[in-house]
Amino acid sequence: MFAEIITVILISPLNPQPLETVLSINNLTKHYGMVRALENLDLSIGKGQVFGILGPNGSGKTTTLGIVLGVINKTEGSYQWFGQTGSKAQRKKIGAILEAPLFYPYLSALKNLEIVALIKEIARPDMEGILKRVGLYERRKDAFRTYSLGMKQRLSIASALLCDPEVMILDEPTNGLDPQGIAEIRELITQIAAEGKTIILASHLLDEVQKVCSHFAVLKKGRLLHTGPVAEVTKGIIAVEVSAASPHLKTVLEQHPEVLSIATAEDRFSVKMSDKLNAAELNRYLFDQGIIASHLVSQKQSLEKQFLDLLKNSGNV
Amino acid sequence: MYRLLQIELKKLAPYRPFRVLMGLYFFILVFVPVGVLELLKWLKRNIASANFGNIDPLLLPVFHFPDVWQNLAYVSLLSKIILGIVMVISVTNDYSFKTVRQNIIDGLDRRDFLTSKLSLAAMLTFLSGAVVLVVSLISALLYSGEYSFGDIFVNMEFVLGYCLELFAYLLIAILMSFLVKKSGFTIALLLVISPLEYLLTALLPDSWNALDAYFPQHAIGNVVTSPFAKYMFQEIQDYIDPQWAIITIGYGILFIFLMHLSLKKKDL
Repeated sequence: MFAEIITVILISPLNPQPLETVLSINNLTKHYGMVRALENLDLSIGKGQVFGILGPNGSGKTTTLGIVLGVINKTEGSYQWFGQTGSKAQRKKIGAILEAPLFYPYLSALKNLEIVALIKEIARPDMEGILKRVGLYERRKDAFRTYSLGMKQRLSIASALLCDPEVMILDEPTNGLDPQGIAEIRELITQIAAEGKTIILASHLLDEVQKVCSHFAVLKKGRLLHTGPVAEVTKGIIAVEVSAASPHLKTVLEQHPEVLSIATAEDRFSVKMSDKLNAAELNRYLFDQGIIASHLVSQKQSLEKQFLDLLKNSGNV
Repeated sequence: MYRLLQIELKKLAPYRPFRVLMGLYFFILVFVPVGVLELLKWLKRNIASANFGNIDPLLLPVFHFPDVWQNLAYVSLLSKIILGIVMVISVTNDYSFKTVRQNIIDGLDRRDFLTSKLSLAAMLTFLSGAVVLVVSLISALLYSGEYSFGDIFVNMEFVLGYCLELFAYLLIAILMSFLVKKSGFTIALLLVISPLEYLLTALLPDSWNALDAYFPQHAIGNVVTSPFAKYMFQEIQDYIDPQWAIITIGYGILFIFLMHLSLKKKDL
């Protein structure tokens, strides 16, 4: 499975154009004593991408973000923001939250944002406008500790938006939220992405990444398993379930050059093919070969399936 | 620097424990010295039998120039623990709320964070020094007998000594907060550290006695020494010994260096 993904990416016509790089991570390594939290990570994130960092808990997502945000000291390697070594001046232009929303519990949303504005040296912060945008305007004068988890997450996003950042980093922004809260945050991220901002989103929720991200990387135990556009994985390979009365069906299918593999399931064949072929064309091909399909269902690959396969195939890592 | 202090004040000004402690501290600083004298007067008026060892307390030149500077500097230092607790709260809050992490993510660096705490300590020291100066001046102008204009400035350097000793103490409070990170533990440690040091020096072999005075609490405490034995006709040190001032400054630099070291190496 892993090998197949690699093949698809190599032959994909969607090969990404070289973009202006926002963040490049080279050979980044972090050891906590004997624990290897991060091992020789290389990663490049381009401008305008909505980049999902996926991985099970403890895979090194937060460690990676902590290092590039200056709160965790790296063991080895380097990273560059906009081609320059990380500094506080750059962090002032990045809107970021790591893990849980961190604010002064006794201060109101407005006062908390005032502190952020002072730290980031924002001349005229539009605090009220941003609080309206995330739906906290009515509660702006209430203490942070009185907020629900969803409101806290939304204040985090407001704080990240305050400096009108070129890059936003969100670490598990929907953690612990109810379905409505998740939908709200997701909608907000989609809106922000539509403005052309680069967003880096760490998550273990695959569905979330599939819905909002343009690119993604998979980490496991501090190692990079895969990185590339989401579209290649979810649209590049389509499995089509076919069955027909003809005994030659399998042979005929195997003869098509764009068919990658065929799996047998009861009386049906599950056909995986490159994105040069779709279900309609396969149907026409079979018809031309004198076979009439009695069952034809095209199945989109989910990121979740890919992700689990990646993790399974990396079992020895 | 000013921006860092501003950030610090924005964090603390609305915080109720900070307001309560600051109110209490300045109340003590302003009214206790004055209150002491009024209490003595009241005792003398109302309890004729009160025996002060045949000494009329009002005749003691406690609030006279130049005694007032050392007396009030020394007494005012007794309430330094309150400011110490304020500093501990300021640092440990940022650790317990993990806001130190967010501050750094937002665009401070570790040195800025340290500078913001030091600037708060400097501001509190400066304010306290100003209050001590004004309170000493006013009480001496009210209660002094005869004095010449030049007498006012004699021993005024005790206000500077007061600031030095207070700032050094606040540095100890900040350093301990950085190392311990939990407010309760740090405050408890701050309360016992001085007795602990005296206990330790008492336990040292006699041949080491000469070293006692160089331990931090001893050395810092030697900047402004207790003046009151004077009124029992005993010899006291009624000046600031530059040796202890310099050693205190040395300790201050060491503490700041240790803070820097502890902050630089740690993941937040």
